[in-house]
Amino acid sequence: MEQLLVNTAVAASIYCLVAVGFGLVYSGFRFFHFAHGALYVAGAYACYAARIGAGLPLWCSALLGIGVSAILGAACDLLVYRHLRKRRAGATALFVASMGLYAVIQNAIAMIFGDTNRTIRTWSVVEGHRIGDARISTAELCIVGVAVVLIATTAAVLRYTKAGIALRALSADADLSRCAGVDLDRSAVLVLVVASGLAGCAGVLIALDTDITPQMGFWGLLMGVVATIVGGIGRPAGALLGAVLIAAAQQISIWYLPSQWKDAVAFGVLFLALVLRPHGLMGQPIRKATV
Amino acid sequence: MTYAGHVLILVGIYVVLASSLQLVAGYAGLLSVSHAAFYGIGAYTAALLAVRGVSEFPASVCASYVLGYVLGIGVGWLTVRVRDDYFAIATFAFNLVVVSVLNNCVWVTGGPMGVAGIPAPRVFGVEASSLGAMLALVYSVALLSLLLCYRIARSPYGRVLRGMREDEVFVLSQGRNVRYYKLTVFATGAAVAAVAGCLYAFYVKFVDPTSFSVGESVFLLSIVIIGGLGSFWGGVIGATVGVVVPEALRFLGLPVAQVGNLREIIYGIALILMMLARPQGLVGRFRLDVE
Repeated sequence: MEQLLVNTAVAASIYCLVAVGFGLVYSGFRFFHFAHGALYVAGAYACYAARIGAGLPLWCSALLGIGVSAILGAACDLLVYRHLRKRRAGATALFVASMGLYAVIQNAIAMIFGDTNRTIRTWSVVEGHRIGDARISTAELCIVGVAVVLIATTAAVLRYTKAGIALRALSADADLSRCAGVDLDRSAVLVLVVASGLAGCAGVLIALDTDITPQMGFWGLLMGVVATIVGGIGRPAGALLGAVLIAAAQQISIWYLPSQWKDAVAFGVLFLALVLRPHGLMGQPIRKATV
Repeated sequence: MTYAGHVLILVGIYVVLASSLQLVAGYAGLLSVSHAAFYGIGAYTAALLAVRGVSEFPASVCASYVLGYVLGIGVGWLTVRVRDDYFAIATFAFNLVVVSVLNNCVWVTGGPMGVAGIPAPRVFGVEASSLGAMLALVYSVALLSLLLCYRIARSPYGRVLRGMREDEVFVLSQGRNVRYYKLTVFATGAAVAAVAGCLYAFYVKFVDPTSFSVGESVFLLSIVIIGGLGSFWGGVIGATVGVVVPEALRFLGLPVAQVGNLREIIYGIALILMMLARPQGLVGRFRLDVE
């Protein structure tokens, strides 16, 4: 039972980090930032290249991984999204362009590093710490700790700082907030840097715990998207709730079903959420149609 | 010569896929990222029937069509209730579930090993094993599916679909049951994709889950977008470009693994450029970028 809670917390932390970033972009700019999944992979691989390739210390390579993701995120906006926004392109055009970005980044990583599994874990496997009957490794403790700090910080920034207020204004009414002097392009770069940094961080953390492959972006992205949709868009608290629900559903399903079904279970939850409560558990109703 | 025949057959199969996706995405505006799932379901249906002794081609086509249609209705019932990018994500999730089922239901599908040793198709008892016979089969199916698309596009039914794409509320106000149209067109597209799967299984004689991944769905969507959404020739041109360009990459002498990556990078870049410079595709009329 305790182990179930520990595993849920670890999985939820990763999902939530991805989901918060994804939700930030979605709530501010109303499109599915598909490339988010590739940035998560980019963070993990940049960290791998710095640690194993260049032999830098772990903390340094972790920061580098986060930095590379953030820079790539900013590049997505500067090179692509900004120009589409300028022509008032719809959400679908942005979504399609973002699928293109995803394909380019993921396959570039696969070309550079190959499709095989990689790992940055040079340390030997030791018995984890005990919490009651459960065990948790140092890497997993790290994941939960970093995630909690980052998510709380993001929530606080959104709530109290000027940039956070500007973003919330954008998500409520983009045209009106531009009239009130919110610089759309600047906020977009800022949001993408923060969101991609969070994704990169999730990538680095997952690299501490398991092997990495270029294809892991799909699952990372989807778990993030599922958590965002289940929890409700536009609130870190919603993403947290969604992430915990998904992770718990997966962990509980492992008791009853073979473990390879846990991804299918996550999508079962997504379908249920879409059918029963498309605006998420904590979100506002989504626009059904524009007249 | 055999090589040219091989490329021609692939073009034919992709024409079937692209024209059926054109119905769903181009005419009705439902950006489905699950087309490869239905393609795979058709391929597995034909493959599993064939290795159990039913290699009569018309029978396999009927079985795939019916199964594709029924599943299309089921999936459509769940997914058409959400709009635009939510629809894309929901269908995306369905594709992942299908791949997960193909990989994990080892006792039926052979899991990651796939189904091998599919016998040559028979048409009313006559074995069609030569390349010429295969070409004839593929192109008769491709012609039929193009004819179907053409008829649907020109019919009153097709006009409602296009109306729905442009302005759903207006079509609703004209007393049309939007849901009925969405469901039936989604299921028809799914069924035709399943028939394409049938062709694939009999031609390649081996099916495994990797051919029907989400990446394949994204690829199909991108060839339709590159060709031009909502245009009869858009699908045909997209399919031709989409098959022939990667074949040309073979002659660059890159390692096989990198050719796949390079192909996807090229499609990613093409998608981004299309969105930036020519959102209606090469010959399309429907622009994705208009709100």
